[in-house]
Amino acid sequence: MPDLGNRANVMGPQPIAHRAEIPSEVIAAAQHILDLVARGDTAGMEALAIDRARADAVALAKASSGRDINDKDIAAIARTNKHYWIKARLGDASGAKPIVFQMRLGESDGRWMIWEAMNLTDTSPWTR
Amino acid sequence: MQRFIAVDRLARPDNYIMVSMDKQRQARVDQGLAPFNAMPYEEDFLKARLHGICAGEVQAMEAAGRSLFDFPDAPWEFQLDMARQVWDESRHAEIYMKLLEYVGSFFGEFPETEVLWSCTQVDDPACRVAGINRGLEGLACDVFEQLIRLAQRMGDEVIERAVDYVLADEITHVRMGSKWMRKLCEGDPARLKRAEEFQANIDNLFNFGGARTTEAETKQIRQKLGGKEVEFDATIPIAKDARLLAGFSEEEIERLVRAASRSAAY
Repeated sequence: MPDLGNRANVMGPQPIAHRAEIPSEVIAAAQHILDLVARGDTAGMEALAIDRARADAVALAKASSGRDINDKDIAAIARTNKHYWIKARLGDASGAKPIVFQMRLGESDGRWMIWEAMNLTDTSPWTR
Repeated sequence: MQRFIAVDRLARPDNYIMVSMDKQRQARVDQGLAPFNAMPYEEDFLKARLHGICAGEVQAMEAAGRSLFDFPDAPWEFQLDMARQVWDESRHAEIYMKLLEYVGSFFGEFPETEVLWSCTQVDDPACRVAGINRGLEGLACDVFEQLIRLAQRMGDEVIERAVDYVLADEITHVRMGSKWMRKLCEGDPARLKRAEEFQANIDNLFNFGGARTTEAETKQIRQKLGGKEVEFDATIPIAKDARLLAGFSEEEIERLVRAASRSAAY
Protein backbone atom coordinates (compact mmCIF):
# COMPACT_ATOMS: atom_id res chain seq x y z
CA MET A 1 0.00 0.00 0.00
CA PRO A 2 1.53 3.39 -0.88
CA ASP A 3 2.52 5.65 1.98
CA LEU A 4 -0.38 8.09 2.20
CA GLY A 5 1.30 10.33 4.77
CA ASN A 6 -0.75 12.01 7.47
CA ARG A 7 -4.25 10.75 6.94
CA ALA A 8 -5.81 12.35 9.98
CA ASN A 9 -7.82 14.79 7.91
CA VAL A 10 -8.43 12.99 4.60
CA MET A 11 -10.72 10.21 3.47
CA GLY A 12 -9.83 7.44 1.07
CA PRO A 13 -6.72 6.68 -0.99
CA GLN A 14 -4.78 9.68 -2.28
CA PRO A 15 -3.20 9.91 -5.76
CA ILE A 16 -0.03 7.92 -6.30
CA ALA A 17 1.14 10.14 -9.16
CA HIS A 18 0.79 13.67 -10.42
CA ARG A 19 -1.16 14.92 -13.39
CA ALA A 20 0.92 15.61 -16.48
CA GLU A 21 1.05 19.31 -17.34
CA ILE A 22 0.36 20.52 -20.85
CA PRO A 23 3.49 22.40 -21.94
CA SER A 24 2.89 26.14 -22.21
CA GLU A 25 4.52 26.02 -25.65
CA VAL A 26 1.67 23.77 -26.85
CA ILE A 27 -0.96 26.25 -25.70
CA ALA A 28 0.96 29.11 -27.27
CA ALA A 29 1.30 27.19 -30.55
CA ALA A 30 -2.42 26.35 -30.52
CA GLN A 31 -3.39 29.99 -29.89
CA HIS A 32 -1.13 31.09 -32.73
CA ILE A 33 -2.77 28.56 -35.06
CA LEU A 34 -6.23 29.78 -34.06
CA ASP A 35 -5.12 33.29 -35.03
CA LEU A 36 -3.83 32.03 -38.38
CA VAL A 37 -7.06 30.19 -39.18
CA ALA A 38 -9.18 33.12 -38.02
CA ARG A 39 -7.50 35.51 -40.45
CA GLY A 40 -7.28 32.95 -43.26
CA ASP A 41 -3.48 32.88 -43.29
CA THR A 42 -2.83 29.96 -45.64
CA ALA A 43 0.91 30.65 -45.91
CA GLY A 44 1.24 30.68 -42.14
CA MET A 45 -0.62 27.39 -41.82
CA GLU A 46 1.43 25.83 -44.61
CA ALA A 47 4.66 26.76 -42.83
CA LEU A 48 3.50 25.16 -39.59
CA ALA A 49 2.36 21.82 -41.05
CA ILE A 50 4.41 18.74 -41.81
CA ASP A 51 4.32 17.57 -45.44
CA ARG A 52 1.38 15.23 -45.30
CA ALA A 53 -0.75 17.64 -43.22
CA ARG A 54 -0.16 20.70 -45.40
CA ALA A 55 -3.20 20.39 -47.63
CA ASP A 56 -5.56 19.93 -44.68
CA ALA A 57 -3.95 22.81 -42.76
CA VAL A 58 -4.34 25.16 -45.73
CA ALA A 59 -7.95 24.05 -46.21
CA LEU A 60 -8.64 24.98 -42.59
CA ALA A 61 -7.31 28.48 -43.13
CA LYS A 62 -9.61 28.81 -46.16
CA ALA A 63 -12.62 27.74 -44.08
CA SER A 64 -12.81 31.18 -42.43
CA SER A 65 -12.83 32.99 -45.76
CA GLY A 66 -15.43 35.77 -45.83
CA ARG A 67 -16.02 35.61 -42.08
CA ASP A 68 -15.06 38.17 -39.47
CA ILE A 69 -13.96 35.84 -36.69
CA ASN A 70 -14.20 37.50 -33.29
CA ASP A 71 -14.38 34.50 -31.00
CA LYS A 72 -11.55 31.98 -30.75
CA ASP A 73 -11.80 29.20 -28.24
CA ILE A 74 -9.74 26.11 -27.40
CA ALA A 75 -12.55 23.71 -26.56
CA ALA A 76 -10.50 20.66 -25.51
CA ILE A 77 -6.99 19.25 -25.30
CA ALA A 78 -6.00 15.59 -25.02
CA ARG A 79 -2.75 13.78 -25.67
CA THR A 80 -1.34 10.64 -27.16
CA ASN A 81 2.02 10.39 -25.41
CA LYS A 82 3.75 13.67 -26.34
CA HIS A 83 1.49 14.71 -29.21
CA TYR A 84 -1.46 16.91 -28.37
CA TRP A 85 -4.92 16.92 -29.89
CA ILE A 86 -6.54 20.35 -29.83
CA LYS A 87 -10.18 20.97 -30.60
CA ALA A 88 -10.95 24.60 -31.36
CA ARG A 89 -13.97 26.70 -32.19
CA LEU A 90 -14.05 29.95 -34.16
CA GLY A 91 -17.16 32.08 -34.27
CA ASP A 92 -18.32 35.44 -35.52
CA ALA A 93 -21.11 37.85 -34.70
CA SER A 94 -23.30 36.79 -37.63
CA GLY A 95 -24.82 33.83 -35.81
CA ALA A 96 -23.50 31.41 -38.44
CA LYS A 97 -22.38 27.96 -37.33
CA PRO A 98 -18.95 28.21 -35.69
CA ILE A 99 -15.99 26.61 -37.41
CA VAL A 100 -14.91 23.60 -35.36
CA PHE A 101 -11.64 21.89 -36.08
CA GLN A 102 -9.27 19.45 -34.48
CA MET A 103 -5.53 19.17 -34.97
CA ARG A 104 -2.60 17.20 -33.64
CA LEU A 105 0.48 19.12 -32.57
CA GLY A 106 3.83 17.48 -32.08
CA GLU A 107 7.43 18.61 -31.83
CA SER A 108 9.58 18.45 -34.92
CA ASP A 109 13.12 19.87 -34.84
CA GLY A 110 12.28 21.98 -31.81
CA ARG A 111 9.07 23.46 -33.26
CA TRP A 112 5.48 22.57 -32.51
CA MET A 113 4.07 21.54 -35.86
CA ILE A 114 0.70 20.41 -37.18
CA TRP A 115 0.79 16.67 -37.84
CA GLU A 116 -2.92 16.38 -38.60
CA ALA A 117 -5.79 18.78 -39.15
CA MET A 118 -9.49 18.04 -39.51
CA ASN A 119 -12.44 20.35 -40.09
CA LEU A 120 -15.18 19.04 -37.80
CA THR A 121 -17.76 21.74 -38.56
CA ASP A 122 -20.14 19.35 -40.30
CA THR A 123 -18.78 15.97 -39.29
CA SER A 124 -17.67 13.81 -36.38
CA PRO A 125 -14.01 12.85 -35.92
CA TRP A 126 -15.20 9.26 -36.10
CA THR A 127 -16.76 9.64 -39.55
CA ARG A 128 -15.02 7.38 -42.02
CA MET B 1 -35.04 8.48 -30.61
CA GLN B 2 -33.13 6.82 -33.43
CA ARG B 3 -32.44 3.08 -33.35
CA PHE B 4 -29.13 1.48 -34.40
CA ILE B 5 -27.06 4.61 -33.95
CA ALA B 6 -24.05 4.75 -36.28
CA VAL B 7 -20.47 4.93 -35.03
CA ASP B 8 -20.04 8.59 -35.85
CA ARG B 9 -23.33 9.66 -34.28
CA LEU B 10 -22.31 8.80 -30.74
CA ALA B 11 -22.80 12.02 -28.80
CA ARG B 12 -20.14 13.54 -26.65
CA PRO B 13 -19.79 16.97 -24.99
CA ASP B 14 -18.08 19.63 -27.10
CA ASN B 15 -15.14 19.84 -24.68
CA TYR B 16 -14.17 16.30 -25.54
CA ILE B 17 -11.59 14.89 -27.92
CA MET B 18 -12.56 11.91 -30.05
CA VAL B 19 -10.05 10.37 -32.45
CA SER B 20 -10.47 7.38 -34.74
CA MET B 21 -8.40 4.33 -33.82
CA ASP B 22 -6.46 4.68 -37.09
CA LYS B 23 -5.40 8.21 -36.21
CA GLN B 24 -4.58 7.20 -32.65
CA ARG B 25 -2.25 4.50 -33.98
CA GLN B 26 -0.68 6.92 -36.47
CA ALA B 27 -0.01 9.38 -33.64
CA ARG B 28 1.89 6.66 -31.80
CA VAL B 29 3.82 5.51 -34.88
CA ASP B 30 4.77 9.15 -35.63
CA GLN B 31 6.43 9.24 -32.19
CA GLY B 32 8.39 6.05 -32.79
CA LEU B 33 6.09 3.92 -30.63
CA ALA B 34 4.31 0.65 -31.35
CA PRO B 35 0.84 1.26 -32.86
CA PHE B 36 -0.88 0.16 -29.66
CA ASN B 37 0.31 0.26 -26.06
CA ALA B 38 -0.62 -3.22 -24.91
CA MET B 39 2.83 -3.84 -23.45
CA PRO B 40 5.73 -3.28 -22.80
CA TYR B 41 5.95 -0.57 -20.24
CA GLU B 42 5.72 3.04 -21.33
CA GLU B 43 5.78 6.11 -19.15
CA ASP B 44 2.03 6.59 -19.39
CA PHE B 45 1.05 2.94 -19.66
CA LEU B 46 -1.04 2.72 -16.49
CA LYS B 47 -2.78 6.06 -17.07
CA ALA B 48 -3.51 5.31 -20.73
CA ARG B 49 -4.68 1.75 -20.01
CA LEU B 50 -7.06 2.84 -17.25
CA HIS B 51 -8.29 5.72 -19.42
CA GLY B 52 -9.03 3.35 -22.32
CA ILE B 53 -10.91 1.05 -19.98
CA CYS B 54 -12.90 3.98 -18.54
CA ALA B 55 -13.95 5.08 -22.02
CA GLY B 56 -14.80 1.45 -22.71
CA GLU B 57 -17.06 1.28 -19.67
CA VAL B 58 -18.92 4.40 -20.80
CA GLN B 59 -19.36 2.89 -24.25
CA ALA B 60 -20.40 -0.45 -22.74
CA MET B 61 -23.06 1.39 -20.73
CA GLU B 62 -24.30 3.03 -23.90
CA ALA B 63 -24.12 -0.27 -25.80
CA ALA B 64 -26.20 -2.14 -23.22
CA GLY B 65 -28.72 0.68 -23.23
CA ARG B 66 -28.80 0.52 -27.02
CA SER B 67 -29.32 -3.25 -26.95
CA LEU B 68 -32.30 -2.61 -24.69
CA PHE B 69 -33.74 0.13 -26.92
CA ASP B 70 -32.86 -1.27 -30.35
CA PHE B 71 -34.71 -4.56 -29.89
CA PRO B 72 -38.19 -3.85 -28.47
CA ASP B 73 -39.43 -7.29 -29.54
CA ALA B 74 -36.71 -9.19 -27.65
CA PRO B 75 -37.84 -11.23 -24.62
CA TRP B 76 -38.59 -9.27 -21.46
CA GLU B 77 -35.87 -11.13 -19.56
CA PHE B 78 -33.32 -10.08 -22.21
CA GLN B 79 -34.33 -6.46 -21.72
CA LEU B 80 -34.05 -6.84 -17.97
CA ASP B 81 -30.53 -8.27 -18.31
CA MET B 82 -29.53 -5.36 -20.56
CA ALA B 83 -30.98 -2.85 -18.10
CA ARG B 84 -29.04 -4.50 -15.31
CA GLN B 85 -25.87 -4.25 -17.40
CA VAL B 86 -26.43 -0.50 -17.94
CA TRP B 87 -26.51 -0.14 -14.16
CA ASP B 88 -23.35 -2.23 -13.73
CA GLU B 89 -21.42 -0.38 -16.45
CA SER B 90 -22.32 3.04 -15.06
CA ARG B 91 -20.88 1.90 -11.74
CA HIS B 92 -17.76 0.66 -13.52
CA ALA B 93 -17.34 4.00 -15.27
CA GLU B 94 -17.45 5.73 -11.88
CA ILE B 95 -14.90 3.32 -10.43
CA TYR B 96 -12.49 3.85 -13.30
CA MET B 97 -12.93 7.62 -13.15
CA LYS B 98 -11.85 7.44 -9.51
CA LEU B 99 -8.96 5.12 -10.39
CA LEU B 100 -7.84 7.64 -13.00
CA GLU B 101 -7.64 10.33 -10.33
CA TYR B 102 -5.76 7.85 -8.15
CA VAL B 103 -3.03 7.35 -10.78
CA GLY B 104 -2.73 11.07 -11.51
CA SER B 105 -4.94 11.23 -14.58
CA PHE B 106 -8.50 12.29 -15.39
CA PHE B 107 -11.21 11.33 -17.87
CA GLY B 108 -10.41 13.31 -21.02
CA GLU B 109 -6.63 13.38 -20.64
CA PHE B 110 -6.38 11.03 -23.62
CA PRO B 111 -8.64 10.88 -26.68
CA GLU B 112 -11.52 8.43 -26.90
CA THR B 113 -11.59 6.10 -29.89
CA GLU B 114 -14.52 4.52 -31.68
CA VAL B 115 -13.24 0.98 -31.92
CA LEU B 116 -15.45 -0.43 -29.16
CA TRP B 117 -18.63 1.28 -30.36
CA SER B 118 -17.92 0.06 -33.87
CA CYS B 119 -18.38 -3.47 -32.49
CA THR B 120 -22.06 -2.72 -31.78
CA GLN B 121 -22.94 -2.16 -35.43
CA VAL B 122 -25.27 -5.10 -36.05
CA ASP B 123 -29.06 -5.39 -36.18
CA ASP B 124 -29.54 -8.84 -34.64
CA PRO B 125 -29.67 -9.06 -30.81
CA ALA B 126 -27.99 -12.47 -30.90
CA CYS B 127 -25.03 -11.00 -32.83
CA ARG B 128 -25.06 -7.93 -30.61
CA VAL B 129 -24.57 -9.91 -27.38
CA ALA B 130 -22.15 -12.29 -29.10
CA GLY B 131 -19.98 -9.36 -30.09
CA ILE B 132 -20.29 -7.15 -27.04
CA ASN B 133 -20.92 -9.51 -24.14
CA ARG B 134 -18.82 -12.46 -25.31
CA GLY B 135 -16.30 -10.66 -27.52
CA LEU B 136 -15.61 -7.34 -25.85
CA GLU B 137 -16.46 -8.32 -22.28
CA GLY B 138 -14.45 -11.50 -22.75
CA LEU B 139 -11.52 -9.24 -23.68
CA ALA B 140 -12.32 -7.17 -20.59
CA CYS B 141 -11.88 -10.33 -18.49
CA ASP B 142 -8.42 -10.77 -20.03
CA VAL B 143 -7.45 -7.12 -19.49
CA PHE B 144 -8.76 -6.94 -15.93
CA GLU B 145 -7.23 -10.22 -14.86
CA GLN B 146 -3.88 -8.90 -16.03
CA LEU B 147 -4.43 -5.55 -14.30
CA ILE B 148 -5.09 -7.35 -11.03
CA ARG B 149 -1.83 -9.30 -11.34
CA LEU B 150 -0.01 -6.12 -12.31
CA ALA B 151 -1.39 -4.32 -9.23
CA GLN B 152 -0.34 -7.25 -7.07
CA ARG B 153 3.21 -6.98 -8.43
CA MET B 154 3.17 -3.25 -7.70
CA GLY B 155 1.83 -3.89 -4.18
CA ASP B 156 -1.18 -1.68 -4.92
CA GLU B 157 -4.32 -2.94 -3.18
CA VAL B 158 -6.47 -0.03 -4.37
CA ILE B 159 -6.17 -0.95 -8.04
CA GLU B 160 -6.19 -4.68 -7.29
CA ARG B 161 -9.44 -4.62 -5.33
CA ALA B 162 -11.27 -2.08 -7.50
CA VAL B 163 -10.56 -4.06 -10.67
CA ASP B 164 -11.39 -7.37 -9.02
CA TYR B 165 -14.77 -5.91 -8.06
CA VAL B 166 -15.41 -4.90 -11.67
CA LEU B 167 -14.16 -8.24 -13.04
CA ALA B 168 -16.83 -10.06 -11.04
CA ASP B 169 -19.51 -8.12 -12.94
CA GLU B 170 -17.83 -8.66 -16.30
CA ILE B 171 -17.94 -12.41 -15.78
CA THR B 172 -21.69 -12.06 -15.24
CA HIS B 173 -22.03 -10.00 -18.41
CA VAL B 174 -20.22 -12.62 -20.46
CA ARG B 175 -22.52 -15.30 -19.00
CA MET B 176 -25.53 -13.20 -19.97
CA GLY B 177 -24.13 -12.97 -23.50
CA SER B 178 -23.58 -16.72 -23.70
CA LYS B 179 -27.09 -17.37 -22.40
CA TRP B 180 -28.87 -15.04 -24.79
CA MET B 181 -26.80 -15.87 -27.84
CA ARG B 182 -27.76 -19.54 -27.42
CA LYS B 183 -31.38 -18.88 -26.40
CA LEU B 184 -32.11 -16.44 -29.23
CA CYS B 185 -30.57 -18.83 -31.75
CA GLU B 186 -32.43 -21.94 -30.56
CA GLY B 187 -33.54 -23.96 -33.57
CA ASP B 188 -31.73 -21.60 -35.96
CA PRO B 189 -28.19 -22.88 -36.62
CA ALA B 190 -27.64 -20.32 -39.41
CA ARG B 191 -28.34 -17.48 -36.97
CA LEU B 192 -26.02 -19.05 -34.38
CA LYS B 193 -23.28 -19.34 -37.01
CA ARG B 194 -23.67 -15.64 -37.91
CA ALA B 195 -23.48 -14.68 -34.24
CA GLU B 196 -20.36 -16.78 -33.70
CA GLU B 197 -18.72 -15.31 -36.80
CA PHE B 198 -19.53 -11.79 -35.62
CA GLN B 199 -17.91 -12.58 -32.29
CA ALA B 200 -14.87 -14.13 -34.04
CA ASN B 201 -14.38 -10.92 -36.05
CA ILE B 202 -14.30 -8.91 -32.85
CA ASP B 203 -11.95 -11.40 -31.17
CA ASN B 204 -9.60 -11.04 -34.16
CA LEU B 205 -9.71 -7.25 -33.90
CA PHE B 206 -8.03 -7.46 -30.51
CA ASN B 207 -5.32 -9.99 -31.20
CA PHE B 208 -2.54 -7.39 -31.15
CA GLY B 209 -0.70 -8.72 -34.15
CA GLY B 210 -1.16 -12.39 -33.37
CA ALA B 211 0.87 -12.45 -30.18
CA ARG B 212 -1.78 -13.36 -27.63
CA THR B 213 -1.88 -16.72 -25.88
CA THR B 214 -2.59 -18.16 -22.38
CA GLU B 215 -1.01 -16.66 -19.27
CA ALA B 216 1.27 -19.67 -18.86
CA GLU B 217 2.69 -19.25 -22.37
CA THR B 218 2.86 -15.46 -22.56
CA LYS B 219 6.38 -14.15 -23.03
CA GLN B 220 7.70 -12.23 -20.02
CA ILE B 221 9.88 -9.17 -20.41
CA ARG B 222 11.66 -6.94 -17.96
CA GLN B 223 9.87 -3.69 -17.31
CA LYS B 224 9.39 -1.01 -14.71
CA LEU B 225 6.18 -1.19 -12.71
CA GLY B 226 5.41 1.03 -9.75
CA GLY B 227 9.05 1.99 -9.35
CA LYS B 228 10.24 -1.63 -9.37
CA GLU B 229 11.87 -3.68 -12.15
CA VAL B 230 9.84 -6.84 -12.68
CA GLU B 231 9.33 -9.55 -15.25
CA PHE B 232 5.83 -9.17 -16.66
CA ASP B 233 3.64 -10.08 -19.63
CA ALA B 234 4.76 -8.84 -23.02
CA THR B 235 1.13 -8.75 -24.17
CA ILE B 236 -2.38 -9.37 -22.80
CA PRO B 237 -2.89 -13.08 -22.08
CA ILE B 238 -6.21 -14.82 -22.57
CA ALA B 239 -7.63 -15.31 -19.06
CA LYS B 240 -8.66 -18.94 -19.25
CA ASP B 241 -10.00 -19.27 -15.68
CA ALA B 242 -12.10 -16.10 -15.87
CA ARG B 243 -13.49 -17.13 -19.26
CA LEU B 244 -14.38 -20.61 -17.96
CA LEU B 245 -16.25 -18.95 -15.06
CA ALA B 246 -17.97 -16.77 -17.62
CA GLY B 247 -19.37 -19.74 -19.51
CA PHE B 248 -16.83 -20.20 -22.31
CA SER B 249 -16.21 -23.87 -23.02
CA GLU B 250 -12.70 -25.35 -23.10
CA GLU B 251 -13.13 -25.84 -26.83
CA GLU B 252 -14.10 -22.18 -27.37
CA ILE B 253 -11.10 -21.00 -25.39
CA GLU B 254 -8.79 -23.30 -27.31
CA ARG B 255 -10.20 -21.97 -30.59
CA LEU B 256 -9.66 -18.43 -29.36
CA VAL B 257 -6.06 -19.17 -28.38
CA ARG B 258 -5.36 -20.73 -31.79
CA ALA B 259 -6.90 -17.80 -33.64
CA ALA B 260 -5.18 -15.24 -31.40
CA SER B 261 -1.76 -16.73 -31.89
CA ARG B 262 -1.87 -16.59 -35.67
CA SER B 263 -4.01 -13.58 -36.55
CA ALA B 264 -2.24 -10.44 -37.70
CA ALA B 265 -5.50 -8.56 -38.21
CA TYR B 266 -4.44 -5.81 -35.84
